[in-house]
Amino acid sequence: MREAEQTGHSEIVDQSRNFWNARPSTPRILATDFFARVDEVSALVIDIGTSSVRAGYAGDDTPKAVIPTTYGLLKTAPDADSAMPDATDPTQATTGASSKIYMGQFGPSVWRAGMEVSNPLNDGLIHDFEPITALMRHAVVDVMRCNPSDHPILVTEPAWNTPANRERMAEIMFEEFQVPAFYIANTGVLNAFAAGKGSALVIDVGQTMASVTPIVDGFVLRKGLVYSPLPKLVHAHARHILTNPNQQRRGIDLFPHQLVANKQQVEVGAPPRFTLREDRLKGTTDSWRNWYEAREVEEWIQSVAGVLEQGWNDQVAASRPPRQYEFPTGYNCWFAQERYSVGEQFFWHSPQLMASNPSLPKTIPALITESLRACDPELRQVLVGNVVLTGGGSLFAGFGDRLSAELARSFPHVKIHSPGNPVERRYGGWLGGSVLASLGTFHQLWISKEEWTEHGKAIVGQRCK
Amino acid sequence: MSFRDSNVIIIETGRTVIRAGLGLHDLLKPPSVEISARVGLRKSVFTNGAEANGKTNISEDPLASTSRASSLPQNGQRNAAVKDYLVGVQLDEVLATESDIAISWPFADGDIRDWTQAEALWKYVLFNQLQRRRVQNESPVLLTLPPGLSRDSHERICQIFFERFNVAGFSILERPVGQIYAANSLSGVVIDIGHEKTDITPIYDGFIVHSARTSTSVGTRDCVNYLAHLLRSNQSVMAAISPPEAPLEPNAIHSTLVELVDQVWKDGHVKVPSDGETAAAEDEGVTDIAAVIVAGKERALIESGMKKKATAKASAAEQARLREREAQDLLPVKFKGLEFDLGKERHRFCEPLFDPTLLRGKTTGDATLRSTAEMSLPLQTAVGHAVAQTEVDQRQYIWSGGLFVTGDITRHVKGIGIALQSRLAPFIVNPELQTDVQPRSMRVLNVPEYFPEYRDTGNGFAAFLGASIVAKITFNDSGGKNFVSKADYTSMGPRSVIEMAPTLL
Repeated sequence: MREAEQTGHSEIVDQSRNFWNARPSTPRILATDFFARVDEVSALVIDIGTSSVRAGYAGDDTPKAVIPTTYGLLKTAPDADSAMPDATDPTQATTGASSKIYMGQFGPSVWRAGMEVSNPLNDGLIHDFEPITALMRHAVVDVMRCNPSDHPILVTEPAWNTPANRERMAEIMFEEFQVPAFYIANTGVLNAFAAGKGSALVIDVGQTMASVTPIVDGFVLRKGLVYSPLPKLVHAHARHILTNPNQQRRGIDLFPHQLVANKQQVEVGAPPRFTLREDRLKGTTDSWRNWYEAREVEEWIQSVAGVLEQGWNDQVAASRPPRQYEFPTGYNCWFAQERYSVGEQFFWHSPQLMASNPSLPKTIPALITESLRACDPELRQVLVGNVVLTGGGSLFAGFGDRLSAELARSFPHVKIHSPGNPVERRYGGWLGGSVLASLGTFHQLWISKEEWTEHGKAIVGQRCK
Repeated sequence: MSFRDSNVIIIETGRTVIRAGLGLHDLLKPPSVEISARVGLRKSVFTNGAEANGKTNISEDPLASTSRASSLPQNGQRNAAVKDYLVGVQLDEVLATESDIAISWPFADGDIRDWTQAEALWKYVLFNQLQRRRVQNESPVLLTLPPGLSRDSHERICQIFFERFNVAGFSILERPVGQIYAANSLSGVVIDIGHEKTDITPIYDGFIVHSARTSTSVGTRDCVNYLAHLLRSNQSVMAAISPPEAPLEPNAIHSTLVELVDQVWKDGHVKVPSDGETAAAEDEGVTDIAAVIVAGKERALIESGMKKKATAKASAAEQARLREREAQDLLPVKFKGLEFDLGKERHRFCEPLFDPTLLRGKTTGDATLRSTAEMSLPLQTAVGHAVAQTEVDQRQYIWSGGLFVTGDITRHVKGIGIALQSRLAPFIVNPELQTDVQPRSMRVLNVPEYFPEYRDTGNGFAAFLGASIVAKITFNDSGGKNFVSKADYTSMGPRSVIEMAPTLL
């Protein structure tokens, strides 16, 4: 059994290699190329990350639906004023409060009085399946306008997913969405496929998690899998820089556009002159504000922050041109060295910081070292020769250059595959799924509805390695 | 294979209106066909239909649907065939005499609610209005559709056009793409103000940013209702339409006012306050004769010149009166044989677009103007938000690409774009900021002057114009891969449209 699957998988690896070698230079034509090989009914691919849920047709080069994983929850509490005589009913009081869920690009990000936001993922793993079902339904039915019962669906999972989680996912797919066939694939493997590689060292930097996954012939080398919530630390560092006062400036208010009624243009570094929407402040929940301020920080990082290519050096950092940035309040100022100190957190932590915080997430070089140490020595050279850099967090300015500089210090022949197209980088896992699900030989791996009915949950662990 | 320009057909499918035209001319012409995107079905034909379909929502009062005060109805009939549906002129005639008609608007949702009804509409446009014959159809068709339809829908549409209408070639264009092309830009935000919904579509580099597309429930209907409501406090109007000796029913008052408002804004008497656009240099005494002739406005110019001379001759008292009227901005209106003056309040027409809460709690007789006001975002919020959903590095190109306000309302009401731009200022950073990421400027797009045939239609026909431009390029390219030819369809089937229509990939 195991043998048979092995061959099945390596065939796919070969095919995906051929496919990518024959790939035309403009990715737009990709889908045209694909269709000749695909069955009549196209499969759907759903990739669930901490920041967004991606869904689309297998064979496409971009997902059709990208919606935030974070959702808004508005509890419509039972009206206290209404003098309802039967409000004494205990079930009414506790469970009677119905809540409304807001999803999609215009769900959580739209300000609503009293709306809380939350995220069903914790460290990359799904911990709350109820909203996940709703999110997937929203992506497939509302955005793609597809009927899930017509299409086989491939879902992705992080390499550290639990068996219980993937079985639950299969159950949702078969029982709630009534899909004709299902498969769950590992994002590490898929990212390698998206890069056209069967063996690779996949460095995936997401919104909350950074992971290093060695892939050998289409399989995850479990002992070499390492991950840490490093991006969270980087984000916290950036937020600290912005909100805490320093010699040059006071702490910056991160009010989002939704809470700013109007702003006036002010000189660089001058205190902002803006008025808040007082009518909204009262109804703003802490979770919403916190989430939206995190978005503002994220945008600042994307616009301004960077990392030095050759490691930290005060002189180099000082010689780089500063950048100006304006916040929604109208406050604007120049960011010089500090914008590079943000990215530095990915690669180096000061000994003081490490001493003060023993549970500090590991840096990227530490993760790579740890991962490779767990692999056989003969594999190491293959892996560092096939490094795949992926994930939205890896789009951080200068990240790729710094990574290659770090790796070059320890290994003679390093080759990093980092797609320049941000879509490929951000949705690498989805793209790999798109490649995999549209290959002819993949068909033997689908779990069909009949198999599910016959074997139950056990089939998921057997089929999806 | 290439086609003759004179055979090319463009069908523009909007939420509530379908426009079409035959032939591409050197000067691209506005659509020759314009019908409401609605179909009617005689209830008597399907007496059991209403019970069979649980969702039927037949509006008993035909006036309600023609005055379009209610949300657009949809009456699905599973067993109805294409030929059972009444469309276009036929439907208008029947509606005038019979009340036993169930009206449906198959495109009102921005999706296709009923395939038979959609087919009935397209068929009517092709074979009745444009006089094509099914047997020897040499016309390729470029169809515009709302963005974001499913792949299955596109295939099904392709199948209908080839198998039912026997077209010679077929391609699909998503409407916002056409609209932004018409404005001569590749990036920007298209704001398509419809009857009850406004679609907002950010476009980056010729491609729709689908994840940032949105629509908000404000539209022309709200503006009309709002102004009708305001007019209730205008003594002279109320005295004229509902004289004390013969007062109208409260409901009738509203519908009459709505008709009046419709007439006023369609005649172009509404301006958007605080805009720079309407202060055109027309009456500054300098006349650019060449521009006038190119625009085909010689007669209008001569007439206005005559009028000026006439007024100059009028008595001083007369002139003083005119000046006073001008200062008060009074507009004489002829409506149903009545004559009265409308004041400045007519310019408040567009206010609900920017503040839908104005409509909350306003009642017309016994019916509340709208119950969905709390769900709809003001235009500026929705637009700002839509662009904020695009990638950080795309935004400055989208903002500087421009705001393009289109939709029926822009045919007669100018300056919404400018008004919107000023309200979007918070999303733009200080123009002196040293940044290559944050948006520093924003402009307002309009259909360029060099489309002379479109000069009098504002931005209203932008989708049709854009589709004409695309059709010209698509169908003239003999080796073209941007449309489905009959041969492609025969060899690949409906799926071919997914690969051939460039915007759908």
